[in-house]
Amino acid sequence: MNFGILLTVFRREVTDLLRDRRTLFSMVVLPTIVFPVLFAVIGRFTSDAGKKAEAEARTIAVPSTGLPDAFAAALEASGLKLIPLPDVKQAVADKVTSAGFRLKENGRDAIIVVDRTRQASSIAAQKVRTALTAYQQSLVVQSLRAASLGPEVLKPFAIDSENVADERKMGGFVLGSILGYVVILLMFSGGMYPAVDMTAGEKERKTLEALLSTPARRTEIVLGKILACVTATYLTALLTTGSLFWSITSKNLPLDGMDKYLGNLSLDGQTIALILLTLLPVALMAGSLMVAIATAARSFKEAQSYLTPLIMLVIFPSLLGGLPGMELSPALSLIPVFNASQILKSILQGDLNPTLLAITNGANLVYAAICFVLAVRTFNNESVLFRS
Amino acid sequence: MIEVQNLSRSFLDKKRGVVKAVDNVSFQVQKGEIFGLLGPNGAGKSTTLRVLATLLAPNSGTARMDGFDVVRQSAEVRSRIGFLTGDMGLYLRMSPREILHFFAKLSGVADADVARRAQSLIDLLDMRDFADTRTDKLSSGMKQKTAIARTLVHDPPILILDEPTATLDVPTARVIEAAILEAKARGKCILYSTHIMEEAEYLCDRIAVIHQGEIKISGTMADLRQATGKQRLREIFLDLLGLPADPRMPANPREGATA
Repeated sequence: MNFGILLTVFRREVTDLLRDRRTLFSMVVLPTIVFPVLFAVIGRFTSDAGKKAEAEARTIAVPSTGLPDAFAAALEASGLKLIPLPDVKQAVADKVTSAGFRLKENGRDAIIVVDRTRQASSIAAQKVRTALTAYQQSLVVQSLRAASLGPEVLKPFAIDSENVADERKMGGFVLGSILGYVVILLMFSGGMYPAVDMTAGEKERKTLEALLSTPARRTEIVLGKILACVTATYLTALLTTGSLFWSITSKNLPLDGMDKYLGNLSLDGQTIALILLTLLPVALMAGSLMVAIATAARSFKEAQSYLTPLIMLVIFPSLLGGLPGMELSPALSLIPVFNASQILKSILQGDLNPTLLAITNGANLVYAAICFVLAVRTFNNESVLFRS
Repeated sequence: MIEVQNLSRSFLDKKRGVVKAVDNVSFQVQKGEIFGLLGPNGAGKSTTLRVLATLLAPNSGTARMDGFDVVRQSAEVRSRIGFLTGDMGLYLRMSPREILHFFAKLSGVADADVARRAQSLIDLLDMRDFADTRTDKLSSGMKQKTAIARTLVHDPPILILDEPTATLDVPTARVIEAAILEAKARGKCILYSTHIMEEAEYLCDRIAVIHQGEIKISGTMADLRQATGKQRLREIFLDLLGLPADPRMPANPREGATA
């Protein structure tokens, strides 16, 4: 094995990739901007939508006849404007008002009319419910007083709940669910174009024959290529993770609703080192596998059409890993991609199990080695290299 | 230098079944000699060259390059050949100088000599004006000069050139031909495939006509004239393919003649 040759091939591949706009986009630009843009858009959108709904939740339809004064007074306490209309249900359905109120036939029980598909309607309905509950409570208190009883008769003891998941764990849960599949997905898409370009692309541009007729051994050539593809994949992972952490710690991004989870998340050196350690075998596996598959393709297009489904295939286990209720076990730690996305979640939640970490990274290294051997063998196969 | 003995190579084609791309081919090329391999498209020229460049393994027969066997000593063979593929094979996002440095390193040129070797070829082939321009910005003539320089970069004793002037205009082809003649004068052993008759006639010392994987005739121009009774290489070539020299005449297939 001549490492000088391997490094020469590696350097050429990396130089070539950095000169290609398409690769630069999927390998550098996309991973860098994905989280800031995602957070900015989601933050802006949710806060805008919330404000808009809040502003729209202002009116309530009430029956134009037969509304008792006591109810009218209670409803007005909600801060909503009462609009008397003959058909309350229709008014809410037609978006004439945000929500509605009517009484049942018995003239005693209340019905809140709401359109659950509209956020403004739900907000208005909640306000009406709060106001009516307060009115109901006041009636109960009055009755109890008349019977010389205190309100504690109805509530002999209080029930509260306490969340044992601390803020770090909640933050880790939210982030882990995102990080797992976005990082792994971007790693595969970041390495895909380089893998295709340096194998099927070389066949298509007819540079492969010139390369293979040099004294360099095929194994040295393919190792240089795999190394370059793994570098591209891992670089994507580094940039995606870095971009995520920057987005969280940056004060410039609107993170409404998320900041209460993200604020206390520990971003110490150990967390980052563990994340990068877990992503390394995944990068080795992804890079080698994509080089192996793309080498077998006749042309650039063919390679792309093999690798695109692979990326779709990767999304599912990483998405599953992000779902709540998914717990990693020693057996499940053997499932590639899924295991890494689960471990990433554990690292961020701060409840990492060292045994599962070892099994996951060990298993992924074995898969990486298998993909690596597959890539080397494919590249040494004359009929695969020269079929057209 | 090049010794090819009963070389055969077939392919499995989905439609046509087993295709004999190279069928029992034998020839030798000496030091300081240009040997032309002449044949129509699909005759087996490129497959023969690929076997000699160790890219494809033969099914039977042997080929030795500078004394090394193409199957058992392929790495030694590759360090002694410069192979110019029919499609140039250049990295378009690199400059000619970068390409030369890359191939020099892969071919085992000592690090200290890489830059000097590249510069001497840039001077020889008159490439100074575009040596540092990205290859995708170059004309086809400039690209072909770069491809020739790449083939020569490690100063190999044997050159295998697959249609090096096929896509070039006459002035550029002249520069390439001059480089080939200069290599011959320096004692290189050159195997040259082409379908430009005129070029084969004045560039090659000996010519073999290959058709359907078999060598139909082989020798100097004088040998070929004597064996076929025809004067021009074009007439000899078409005659061996069973085609009349006059395009208005109908084809008359015949079994190949041998010298």
